[in-house]
Amino acid sequence: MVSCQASFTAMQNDVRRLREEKALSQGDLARDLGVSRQTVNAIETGRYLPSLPLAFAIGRYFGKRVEEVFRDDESR
Amino acid sequence: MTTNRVSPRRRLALAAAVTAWVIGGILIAIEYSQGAPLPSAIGGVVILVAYGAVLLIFQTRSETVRALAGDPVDERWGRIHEQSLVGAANVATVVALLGFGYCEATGRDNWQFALMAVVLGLSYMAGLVWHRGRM
Repeated sequence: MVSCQASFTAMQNDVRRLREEKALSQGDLARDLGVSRQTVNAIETGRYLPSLPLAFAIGRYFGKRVEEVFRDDESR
Repeated sequence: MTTNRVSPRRRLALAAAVTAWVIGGILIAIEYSQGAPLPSAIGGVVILVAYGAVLLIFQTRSETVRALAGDPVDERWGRIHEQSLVGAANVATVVALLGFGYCEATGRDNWQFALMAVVLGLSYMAGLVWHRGRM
């Protein structure tokens, strides 16, 4: 059954791992995505959930699908 | 040929600063016309003038100042800006209600607080109707 509480679900992501694999700094990624370095840091640490367009942009940047970068509790 | 066009970001900060300065100027004119000495009238608006100057000087260096100027740097700052507005509206609502109650209890004129509460309530309801149809 599909949950209707998506906005309250804890999310994890692999942004930090993917960024480090490409030997990029947070500033590099931020510049390429058009956001601030603090926003990249907040996404990596899970303090900020990006919008769908930004999540897609992150996925596209690393050549991954969104669900390969971001996961909720139920997808594990 | 070089052009000297003002960037949209700079224009926003300039608009916010000019608004602060115009409000300051109007306040000086009102106080002065009511008989206040000019230095005293000017002193009362120093904060507004300084606020405008801070927006202009620091908006290219500080993300916080860019948000204050109405130009959040990215979507996270946009959300921070919105949540701060919600917090400010909540505080204003509490102040309006407490002020109204205090004035009512002490027999003072309370129309300013009543007007503030009505404006807050009506603008909130108008916002619900407006945004409901758009998301």
